[in-house]
Amino acid sequence: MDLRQEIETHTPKLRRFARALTVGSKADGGRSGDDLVHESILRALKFARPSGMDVRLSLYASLVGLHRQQSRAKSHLLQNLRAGHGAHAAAMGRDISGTMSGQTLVDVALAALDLEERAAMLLVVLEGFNYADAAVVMDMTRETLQANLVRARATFARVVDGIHAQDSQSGARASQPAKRVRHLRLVK
Amino acid sequence: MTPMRCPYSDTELNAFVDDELPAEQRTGILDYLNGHPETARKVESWRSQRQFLRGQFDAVARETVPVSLSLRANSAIKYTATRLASPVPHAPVSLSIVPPEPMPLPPHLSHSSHGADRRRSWSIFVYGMACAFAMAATMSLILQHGALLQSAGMAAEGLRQPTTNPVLAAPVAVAQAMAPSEGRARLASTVALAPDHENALAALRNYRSFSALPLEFISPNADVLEKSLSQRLGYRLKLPRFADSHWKMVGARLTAENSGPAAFVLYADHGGALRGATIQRGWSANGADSLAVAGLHAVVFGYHDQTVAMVSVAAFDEIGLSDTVSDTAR
Repeated sequence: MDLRQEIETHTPKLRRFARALTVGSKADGGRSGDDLVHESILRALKFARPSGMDVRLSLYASLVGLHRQQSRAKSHLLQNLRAGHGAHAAAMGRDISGTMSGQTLVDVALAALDLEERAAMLLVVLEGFNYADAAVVMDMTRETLQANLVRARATFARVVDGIHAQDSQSGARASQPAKRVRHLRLVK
Repeated sequence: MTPMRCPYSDTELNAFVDDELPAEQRTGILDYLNGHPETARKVESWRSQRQFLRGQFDAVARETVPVSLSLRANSAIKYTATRLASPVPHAPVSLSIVPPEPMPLPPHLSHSSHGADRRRSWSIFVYGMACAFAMAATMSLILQHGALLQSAGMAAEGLRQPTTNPVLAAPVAVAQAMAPSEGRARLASTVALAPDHENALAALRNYRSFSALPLEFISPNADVLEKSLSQRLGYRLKLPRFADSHWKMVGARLTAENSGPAAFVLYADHGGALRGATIQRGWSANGADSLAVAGLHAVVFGYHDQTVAMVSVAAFDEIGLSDTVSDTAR
């Protein structure tokens, strides 16, 4: 398989990863994720073969590296999203009925993660990388990757559980019968 | 009484979830989890995150890759240009279009219960119909004006002026009778003379992206355009300037070619006529690996409220591109 074919094989999953990685900027309909994929493909076309790196790893490594660069520039936005482990973001993402759709819930939970934690979690959990490959992609040791992964999973679970708990509380309140209005009497 | 502390760290439990532990350690954790439901619940919640994430993002992986990310899309365009330039066969041409795969039914006739499948089927059907229309219209033109196709000067004309191009005359007339956006899409599809159904769809998608975004950079300053394009492409691009002619650079956009990313550059003359060319590194008229002009395809799109048809190769033949290439390649 030539380089182009190989890149095309990985492009759909690379887009999935990029979309999940850039959840903080989803208002653009995934365009920022696709921009990252585009740049990663260009880099892979140029450098994948000369570097001798596996094409798949090269694509993901480029994408993570590019996203790191971009995220530094807008880190204050991510800080806002992370504040209170998503409490503020959760409030933003609720629909009128007060419950949260699956996609919004994932977005909020992912946005609550540190950039490195999010990348580590998505590589291993979403993309199915083993620890060794994920560490290569993220250019860090296996131990650092594992530490990021542990924190990411714990935070993710905490945020999701917290939102579910809030939803169930508000749901319970909504399902309670309305208190009887004392000054009205039932007449026949 | 305090609960007994778990002998396994979260790191080990995570590695267990991810199948990164040796078999014996894995067995030990399995035994422990059987007797400790609290920890088992925690591990199970981590495990369920995979399904949760995939459930939310797998749809992205199933989407059609946008043409801007597709390295394969332009193979159909290149083939199309070859077909247009090649002599027209004298064998009888059938006007019936037989796609390689059965044409999917529109949603209201489909038995599929999945909404996504139905939407996909519908979009394939629409594309298929557009391509069928394109091929039928072009075939009829070939039958009517077949010999003219061989002429080198496939000059393109703005829609507002009567066109003399036999290839584009009929589609242009059809397009003029339709709403602008629909007209452009149909017009674009008429040049998608792809060898098969799949390539026709790829060609159509590519043209549609041109319709949506004809130009990314607009500047009267050629240096600025050249610099912007070079930055986006990652290599230094030298654009033909035509200093001695009346063609001025108007704008440009990136495009995907078989051999890699390239620039599509638009030129205009004093009368407002437009010409375009695909320019990239690696294809050189004089064999040097410097500048090359890869005039691959006809491009049809709207520009400043005009629907404009352009044929790159022939247009540059008219204005002596081959000489200019040698000059700028140095």
